[in-house]
Amino acid sequence: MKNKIPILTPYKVAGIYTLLAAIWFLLTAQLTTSSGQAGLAQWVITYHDGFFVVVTALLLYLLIHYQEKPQRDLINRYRDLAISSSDWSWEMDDQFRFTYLSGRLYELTGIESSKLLGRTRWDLAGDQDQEKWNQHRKTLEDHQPFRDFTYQSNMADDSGEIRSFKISGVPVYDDRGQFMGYRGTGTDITEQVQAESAHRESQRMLATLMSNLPGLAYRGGNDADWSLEYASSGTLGLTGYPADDLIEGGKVTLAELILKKDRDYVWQGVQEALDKKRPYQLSYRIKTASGEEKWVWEQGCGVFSADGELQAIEGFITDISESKNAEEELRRVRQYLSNVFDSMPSILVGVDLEGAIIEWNLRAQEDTGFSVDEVRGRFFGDVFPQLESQLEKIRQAIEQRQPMKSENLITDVDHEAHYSDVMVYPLIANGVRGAVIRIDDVTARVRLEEMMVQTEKMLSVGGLAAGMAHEINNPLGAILQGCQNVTRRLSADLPKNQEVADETGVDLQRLHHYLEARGISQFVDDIREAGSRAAKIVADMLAFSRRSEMSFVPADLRELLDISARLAGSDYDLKKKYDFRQIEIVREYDPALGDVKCDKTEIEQVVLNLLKNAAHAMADNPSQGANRIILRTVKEDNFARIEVIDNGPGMDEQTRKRIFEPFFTTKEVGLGTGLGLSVSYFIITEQHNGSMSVESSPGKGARFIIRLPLAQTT
Amino acid sequence: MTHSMMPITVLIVDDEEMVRNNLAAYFEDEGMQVTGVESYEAARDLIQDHEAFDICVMDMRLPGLDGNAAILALHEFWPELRYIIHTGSVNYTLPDTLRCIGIEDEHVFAKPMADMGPMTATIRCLLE
Repeated sequence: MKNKIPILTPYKVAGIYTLLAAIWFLLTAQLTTSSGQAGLAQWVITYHDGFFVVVTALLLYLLIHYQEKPQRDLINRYRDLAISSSDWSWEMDDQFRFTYLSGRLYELTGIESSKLLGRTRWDLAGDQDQEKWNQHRKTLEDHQPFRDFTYQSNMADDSGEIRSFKISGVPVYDDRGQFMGYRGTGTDITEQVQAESAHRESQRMLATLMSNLPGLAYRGGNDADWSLEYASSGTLGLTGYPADDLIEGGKVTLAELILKKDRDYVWQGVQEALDKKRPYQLSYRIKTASGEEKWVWEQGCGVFSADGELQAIEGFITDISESKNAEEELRRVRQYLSNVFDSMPSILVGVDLEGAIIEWNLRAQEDTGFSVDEVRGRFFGDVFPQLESQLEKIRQAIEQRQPMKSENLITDVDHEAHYSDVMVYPLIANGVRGAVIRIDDVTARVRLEEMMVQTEKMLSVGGLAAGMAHEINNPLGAILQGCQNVTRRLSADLPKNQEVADETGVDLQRLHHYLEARGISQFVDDIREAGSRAAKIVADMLAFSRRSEMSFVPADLRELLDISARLAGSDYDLKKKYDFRQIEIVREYDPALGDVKCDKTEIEQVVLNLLKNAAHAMADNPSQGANRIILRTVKEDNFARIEVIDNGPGMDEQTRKRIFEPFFTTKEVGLGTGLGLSVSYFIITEQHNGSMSVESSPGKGARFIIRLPLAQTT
Repeated sequence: MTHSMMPITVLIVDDEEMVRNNLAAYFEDEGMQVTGVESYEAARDLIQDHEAFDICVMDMRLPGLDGNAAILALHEFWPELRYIIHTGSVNYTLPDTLRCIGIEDEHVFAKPMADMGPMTATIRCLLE
């Protein structure tokens, strides 16, 4: 609003007025004295006082009207503002005592202004925060204006309710610049203060809750860095970095903490959830400030504006390493147990109370050809029909929770006897019921035991023979020598015989005919033959006694085998039971095999015995085609292996099992002593620390295998 | 000492009479002169009575002094006497003391002996 008319001070108005009056008086006096125009002069003289009053009144009116209008407008304006203001206004005198309080005070606070008039503000404020009031009082005493001074008071409220006020004020001076007091406004900010306090409290509570969270509560942007606006104090515990380091612009970004191989997974997981406006839950690994790797779990969600625009993501990340590790440990232990289970050489079968298979190990799978999935839930008796005889015992063991063991069960595998041990271990752990059945193939052990029994037998034979050999050999000597003397003294060749015959009148020629005719010569031969056989048996039995004079020398097995073969060939002439010349001898000698320390004569005897047995066996089956014996040597790691393989009739399981037994023979009575193979076995196993075995089945020939240790320890 | 004309004299020491007799019969048929005794003690008595022998066939297991000791003892009296060992012991090994007085492995014969020819041959061989 423009005010073209200059504001005149009262002095100026008085001055102007005096000037106008003086002009008027001089003008009218001039007019009256100088006539000429008498009429007008007369008119002026007649009316000049009244006219002056009218003119000056008119001038003053105009003057004051235009002079005061802006001030009136101003006053009106400020009055309107004061009335319409939500604040109240106040005035105080130079002693800072209230002199005026607008009605708005009552409306706002319910405080009667009459209660406050004449009192200073600090009188009303109580004695709280002295420092603040001293400051304020100083401001007033310095006559400084102030703004937004806040304080609390219960001054006028009978309920004692404390209210908060905010006041602003300026000093007031009179025209002469004399300090008159203060004038200003005030407002009740109790609600505002309470709201602020409540807000602060909720902020504090949130902050406390956040800081107590065992992990990182965050708010951040959906960007590749996962830049954060806020990170809770749990950040330090989780990542090793203070929360500030992770806030946008800090040392590291959240994305950098996530292991490289997990970053894509986290990004995809979050984006997917945000697209669907759903919360996301992720498990991944981070690397902490100290380089430690941790498994963390995160849950969060997008914060969307009303129009659906993503503003931020908020969530929480916490350490789950412990449970992850426990999980890992559990998996490891499970794996470990499973490995232990599978690496057992026994068949292990886990069954429930009803005998249904729950689990079984690798060995079971290999032996039966069924995977565990194929047999799970099946009754184990159906899977192991060979255990039929044991089903009842196993069932009882499970029921009574007593371990059970059955040894040396004979089972039939490919028509060959096998032996099994079956053990049942009921499970007695809490909550686990059933049993583990363990099946071991103990065929090898049983065979070994059989062999040991055999060796024992041989040793006892040897001991017996050594004890009685001398006693038997003397009478045998007498028998054999007697036979020789009888034969000699009946013969006509001896001159002495003729001499005595002549003396006694006996015709030796005729006597000879008589002896032949009556078969007496044959009887004597038979006695000699029988005596020789008895002597051979005793000698063979003696071979079982441990002899100390074994002479171990390095021997070339090729040479040794050749000697044996030659001896076997010459044997033909004596016995005429078989024709060794009809047998093809194939030599397959391993050139890698060097000399082997052994008792040459003994091994020669062993091989010779095998060759003779083979020839015998083949002679018994003349229907066979070309007879062939393979002599083979093979160098093994620690053994020299000698194989004597024939394509004769072979032998059945029953014979095979007993073949090394003393006095066991397949030959007709009188043809064998039944000691040859057992003596061989004894020589190889006991005297040479080797092994001897046979593989054979009817119609398939026989393969005798001898192993001599390469490094002789004796 | 050659016996081209004189028969070979043999002393058999064996406690088994049948063995003694059989050996004696065979050696006599071979033209030898044989005396048999059952023990070292009897043999010693004979030698002390100045009976002369070319060779002695000695059993090992004897009542009284055993064969090995008997040979050593007789060797004291009569160093010229030669020995054949005829034993029923299966594990017999020739002791070094006997090897020292000229007895060798081929002079040892095991019982039972179906053919006495080889022993006779050895005796002849020893005395040549």
